[in-house]
Amino acid sequence: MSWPGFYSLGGAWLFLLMGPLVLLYFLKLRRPRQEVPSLVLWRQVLNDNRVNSPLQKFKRNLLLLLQLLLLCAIVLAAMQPYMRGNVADVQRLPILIDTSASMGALDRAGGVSRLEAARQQVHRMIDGLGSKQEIALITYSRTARKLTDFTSNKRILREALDSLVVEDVPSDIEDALRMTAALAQTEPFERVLLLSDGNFPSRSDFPLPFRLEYQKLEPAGPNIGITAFNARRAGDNQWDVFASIEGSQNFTDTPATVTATLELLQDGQPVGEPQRIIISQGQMQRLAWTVHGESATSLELRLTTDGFDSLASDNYAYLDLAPARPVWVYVPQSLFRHRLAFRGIPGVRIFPEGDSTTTSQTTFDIIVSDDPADLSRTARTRLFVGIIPPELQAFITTREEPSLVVDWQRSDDLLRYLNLDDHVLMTKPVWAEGVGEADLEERGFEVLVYGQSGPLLLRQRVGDDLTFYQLFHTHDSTQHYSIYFVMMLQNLVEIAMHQAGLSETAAQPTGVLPPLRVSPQMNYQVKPPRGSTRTMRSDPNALLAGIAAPYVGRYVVQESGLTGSAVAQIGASLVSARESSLHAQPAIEFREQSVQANLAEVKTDHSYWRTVLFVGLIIMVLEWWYFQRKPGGW
Amino acid sequence: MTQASNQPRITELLDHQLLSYIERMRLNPNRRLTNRSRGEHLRGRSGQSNEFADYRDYTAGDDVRFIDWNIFARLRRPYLKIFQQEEEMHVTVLIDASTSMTFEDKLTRAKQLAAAFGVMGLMNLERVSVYAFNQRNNGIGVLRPCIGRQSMRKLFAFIEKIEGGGEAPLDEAIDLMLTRHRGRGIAVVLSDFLTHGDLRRSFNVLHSAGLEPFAIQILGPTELDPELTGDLRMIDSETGQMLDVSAAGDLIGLYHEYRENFTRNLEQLTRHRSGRFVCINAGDDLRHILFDVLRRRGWVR
Repeated sequence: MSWPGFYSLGGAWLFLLMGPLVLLYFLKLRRPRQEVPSLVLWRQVLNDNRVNSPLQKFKRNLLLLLQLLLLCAIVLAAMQPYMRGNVADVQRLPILIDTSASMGALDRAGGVSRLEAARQQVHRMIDGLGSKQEIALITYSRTARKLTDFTSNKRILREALDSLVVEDVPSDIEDALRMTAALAQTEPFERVLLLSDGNFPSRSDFPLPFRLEYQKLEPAGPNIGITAFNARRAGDNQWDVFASIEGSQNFTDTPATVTATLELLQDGQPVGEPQRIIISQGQMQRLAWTVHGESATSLELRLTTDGFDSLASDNYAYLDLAPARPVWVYVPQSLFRHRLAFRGIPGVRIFPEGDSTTTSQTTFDIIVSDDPADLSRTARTRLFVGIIPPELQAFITTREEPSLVVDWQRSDDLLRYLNLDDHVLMTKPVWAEGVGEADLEERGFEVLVYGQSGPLLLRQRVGDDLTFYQLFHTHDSTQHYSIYFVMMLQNLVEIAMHQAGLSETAAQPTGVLPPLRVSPQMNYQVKPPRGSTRTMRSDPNALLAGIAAPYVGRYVVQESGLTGSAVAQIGASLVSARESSLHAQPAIEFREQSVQANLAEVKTDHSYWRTVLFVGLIIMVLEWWYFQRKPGGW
Repeated sequence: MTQASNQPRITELLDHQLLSYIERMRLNPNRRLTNRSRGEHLRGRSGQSNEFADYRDYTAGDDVRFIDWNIFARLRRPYLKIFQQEEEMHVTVLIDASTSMTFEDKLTRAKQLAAAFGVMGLMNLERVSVYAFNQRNNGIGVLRPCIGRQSMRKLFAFIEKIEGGGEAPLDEAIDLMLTRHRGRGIAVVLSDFLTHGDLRRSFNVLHSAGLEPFAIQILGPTELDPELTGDLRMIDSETGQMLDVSAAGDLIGLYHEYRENFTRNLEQLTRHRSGRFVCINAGDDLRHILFDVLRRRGWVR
């Protein structure tokens, strides 16, 4: 049993007012005088035994008693009594509230979400917040966000709490812990309360600098959801589409199976008949469809459960497919060996076509060139041969000396399965005086192949675009005599297909949409499936990056203005096996300690001054009613 | 009615219309307590009035003037005519003019009732006397016995001059009244009877003096139904004594219980002495008291 405490114990001095109150009562200084014809009857009444019985004496002093009780109630309220909770001695308490997708799961049909349960719990804590206690609210899903600073202002806390919504993204608890640790640097505290359904990794390398109270919410109901949705190129103009459906670990009904219907829509039209599936607890089913994809198309997968499904956000998934076309490669006639090698790779279309030196095609998936003028051409994947990047020309020079390949990054996508040992180069790239690999890395370049005196192959990533610089020319080496020359170009085609989404593609997960290539320095409006439209500006590189996609659904990007045309429609899906499983970790293993989940609700101090004041008000009303009412009323 | 109200009034106590009604009313005592002097009340014994009562045989010594000579002529035997005896009744009105009666028009109502009873007595040729005791200045005021309509102005003048303010107990006032009073009849006592004195003895001496007590207790509205709020310090208007009272739920109930017991006790005291008792509210209309309460109870007719 916990004993009540008082926030303002000094208010007890007000109990001394009881002395003057009793004194004034018995002095009856203000007793009104009333002249009556005769006291004959009143004396007889007051001499009656019933009037002088202990009960009646008590009633005669009831006014004094009620006044004392009223004074006690007021003084107690001034002392601000509270009932000690589990965190009674905590003055500052950061509360981390999980708002990831799994927190949107309901406990039963028509029930409340996990976030709502957490919200109610925090509301109760705010209600019982003492005047010297402060709470900071931090919410986290994919990233953490501080809602309030440490404050005891209940209105601010309640408003911040009410603004919380579930985001259809996986959670990243470490980000929240990092933010909390940073907060501890400025405003120290000892304990942190984590409110979550436990849907996060069981292990973390984060070094906890504070004591973490892991408050696990009541488990949600059963759920099945789409955990994967992807497509792979299947010959010309066709895609094989795959989907994974998984059941959560908390099926309770017997038999523990759920039936559901899957419907695939291509540009709004159903693909085949809806498929019926039966999912068991913790089981996964894979389904496949074949769709035509001559042009860019959008797929939508809908999962409809026959019974109760606790999480709705994983019942929809979206997939945007690029046209099932050949890879467009630009290779100038000067690189005839490359053009010859590309001809042997299936699914590749080479520009300029035939013996022409020009082409009307402006968009390419791959650019392979030895002409510095082609540096201005744009493509998702580029390979420049015998060209030193302009920004590195001060760091690397070439000498007309034979050289060999010393080492290369064998795990790189471009260099997979290649053996460059027998390559002989007639050109020798050389580091400038005092320059090293670190200088290149500072400028966004990574060395993939090392020569005897300098780098031979560089990679630069700008946004999603990849550019490779081969610092020696092919015809100045034995490269084109090797089978590995063709294999490298094959790898380049695969990289380009992957970059352009031509080989395989997966549903875009929620969180942040990939950068869009748009016009530079222009405003665009992003219409999310929920919430208000947001205006963003493209960067000088014509990239529109950092588009937040916290909810499942289609995001429409269009030019600003009333008549702005749509630039892109991108569907974002949850597709997270962890979130759909609704698995609740019973503990988190940190580096040096383990934090066990606590199912019992953490109680803060519960303040009772309002209750005591209300009791005082009742006493006052009772006193008024009893002594001021009309005589003979009852 | 309007004409009557515009005419100069004989007294401030009663208007003309009410007075005319009262003049036709008569007192209706339980017992015939009369004086030997000739009056309007028939006695059981024979007397000198004109009302024939009976015949009886002549005996030696009887007044021959009362022999019925017609019967003697037919029967040749003397028979004596007997007439009824008519005697007067003494109506004594006692008005309590103590300080307690000055509250809530109790004294005014008492003076009006005294005037009404006096008029009834005078118009019935009774001997009427009025005693006002516990007056502010004189202690006791007396209207000596008077009779007949010509005494009405004197009666009204006396009653109108009564002022409240004394503080002697009622029993002492009755004793003092009986030292001056002579004659039998009725004694109308108009008081609130709120006294610490022994009223049993007072009613006994009234009864012994041949006066049938007509006790009318006049209480104010706040005495009949008091309102008590909070803590009060009550002050007795006569003695100046103080009493602290705190309002409590059943205190008013106890007051009502005691007041009813007090009234019931007074009623028993008067009934046991062949008298009458009624408790009236000073706030009630005088017509209601006279023509409804008293007439229904058979006090007047």
